[in-house]
Amino acid sequence: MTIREAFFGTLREVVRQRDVASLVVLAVLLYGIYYPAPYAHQRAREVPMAVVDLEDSALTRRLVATLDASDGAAVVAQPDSLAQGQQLLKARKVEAVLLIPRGVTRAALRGEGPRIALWIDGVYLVRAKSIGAALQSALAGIFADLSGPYLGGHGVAAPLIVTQRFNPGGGYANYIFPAVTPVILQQTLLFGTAVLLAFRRRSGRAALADARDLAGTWAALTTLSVLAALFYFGWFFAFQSLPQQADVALRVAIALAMGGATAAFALAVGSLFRRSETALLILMPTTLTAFFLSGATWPRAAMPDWVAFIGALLPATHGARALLLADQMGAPTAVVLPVLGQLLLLGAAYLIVALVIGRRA
Amino acid sequence: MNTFRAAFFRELTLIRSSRPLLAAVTILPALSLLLIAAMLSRGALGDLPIAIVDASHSPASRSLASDIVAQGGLVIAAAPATESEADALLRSGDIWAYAVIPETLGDTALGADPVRIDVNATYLSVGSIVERKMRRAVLGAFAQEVQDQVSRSGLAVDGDDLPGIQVNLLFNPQSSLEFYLEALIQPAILQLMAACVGVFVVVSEMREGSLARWVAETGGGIAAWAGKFLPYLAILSWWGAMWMIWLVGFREWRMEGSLLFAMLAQATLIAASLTLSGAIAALTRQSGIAFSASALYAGSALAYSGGSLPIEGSAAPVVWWSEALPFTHYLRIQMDQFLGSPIGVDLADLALLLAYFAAGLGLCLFATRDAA
Repeated sequence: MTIREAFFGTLREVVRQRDVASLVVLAVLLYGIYYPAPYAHQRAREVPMAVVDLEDSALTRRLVATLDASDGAAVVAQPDSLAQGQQLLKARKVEAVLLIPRGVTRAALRGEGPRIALWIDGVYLVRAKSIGAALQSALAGIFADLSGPYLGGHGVAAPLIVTQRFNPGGGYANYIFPAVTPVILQQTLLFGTAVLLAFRRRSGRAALADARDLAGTWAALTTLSVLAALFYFGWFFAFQSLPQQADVALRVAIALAMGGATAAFALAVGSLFRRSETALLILMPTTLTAFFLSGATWPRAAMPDWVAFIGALLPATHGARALLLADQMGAPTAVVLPVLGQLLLLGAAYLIVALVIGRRA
Repeated sequence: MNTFRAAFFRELTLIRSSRPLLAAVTILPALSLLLIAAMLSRGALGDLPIAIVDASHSPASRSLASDIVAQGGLVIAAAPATESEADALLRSGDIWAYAVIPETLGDTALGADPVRIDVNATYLSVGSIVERKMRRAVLGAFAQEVQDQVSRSGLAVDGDDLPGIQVNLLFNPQSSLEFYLEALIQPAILQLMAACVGVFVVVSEMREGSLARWVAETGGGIAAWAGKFLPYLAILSWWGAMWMIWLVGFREWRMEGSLLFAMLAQATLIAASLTLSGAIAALTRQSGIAFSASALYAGSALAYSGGSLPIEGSAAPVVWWSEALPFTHYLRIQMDQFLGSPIGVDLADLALLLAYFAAGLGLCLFATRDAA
């Protein structure tokens, strides 16, 4: 078998076998829309909250009305005491409780700014942060509007300006979707490849007969993976309006390095299985672990070395690093190249493993 | 009863004879529990590198820098002379944030230059922790400065009269990312495992695309299906319980509500996932479709659960789908019990999980109605 025959033969197999095509082509395209959908609104909106207004003055009533009208919050209850507010929180009627103490107007007239307190359920940490940010920005806007009539424009200079770089406003889809994309590409190709190789074995041939068969199969899977990656980088990222900074050449380079390493990884791991059901039973539940090992939520530097090492064996870990550095953070090419180099090394190592395992019938 | 026992013991034989299945309910959950627990085992994020561009070069700016470090978990890794140097470090991922301290630091008059902090928000979870610490240090220093100036000018002011809004996090006052992730990840992994096992054990009994032989040999009916799924429900729920005991007993996260109720909810989630995925396999008779469907409803359940970003601002179909997913209701129960909500609040969610379990079992029964 020549490399060319193996290449086109693999593409034919992918198209003809419904299970392979649905994993390698359909699932990849579906997840590009399905996965980011619950994050598309980026920030918490209309958070149901209770306001305990102990002052009940013209200013505080206006504050409550403006808060309710804001995009960030919806005031659904006005209990008489903080204890009642916290009961509502525990009964899951509200997500947050705001306490406006007596003396707010007097303090505002003295030009001292707001003195109010907010309680948020901290069990869902990231959720709590987005709720806190939504409410804080709504409140800040209200106080800025009120400062004219009530404070006469006087006050204290803002002491601090925080800028959330590379992700304006700290959008959630901007954070999670680029980080999860290499994992989606890796896992779908892994599942599809495992099923493909199991089919080959069931039809009585070796998963990968020889070096030429391996090279052709790898080239075909790399082509599919690179195309899928470019579809994500070019189309889905733009569709989700993600901030993108890398130029086209660098994005293509990342897609190539990631696709090559991912295909080699999929061949090495996929050739371990004799039956497609067995492969999916074992491989599918590793998806969440693979995502968290990539360091998107818990940094790799904070993991014990052996855990970080296991993460480093996954192409998606380096792919995510390269993608986030280049495309989200706008890192110079010189910083991204070593990461791509790691992907190439990893890919070469997996090709050797695939050849050793795949030749066994 | 005999049907139930026959199906149950047949399943134990299947587990003993299928090494992949044995691995899927023993080594695989053990490894994933261990990996995630180990990943988060340091508890803290360690010393995250930041940089400070100090244009003030004053005792006040040096004191601000030490205030930032005193927040813990941050280390000043570089002191670039210009903002563009700091920016290059941020872009290269060498630092998580940098602060620019203006020449006029300490001047509280309107129009004075503020301290500026630029945080890498690409990694939102870590970035927001860094931001919070730096913000607290700067605002704390600023508040001190305001008070000093006000008292020098002879005005009386309360110490608490500081600009801003006090934000308190209930249950997780330290805002621990470790707890949050640990609470979220393991049930999601276990659910996906249960779904995949559900598909596999049904597909394993198919001969020429039919479950007729399994029905004939066990007797079929609801008792056989219950006996079939019970071993996996028991094993996977045991892993779920181990994880909760690890969280509450060893990592010492207090569960303010009922631990038993949370465990019951988790077992129900596992039962629902086993039977629903098993039913998809039995109805479609296609392992590929059943596995893909399982990945679709269990693999992305975390994203749709609202556990990270409230789902309420989403498009209507996303909200419906989120409500339709069993995991959303499980997570609500689990987190409510951590917070200490009364059980009554969560009974509706538990009833729904039970309904999913019953529906899964019913669909399995439906799929084998002709063979019985």
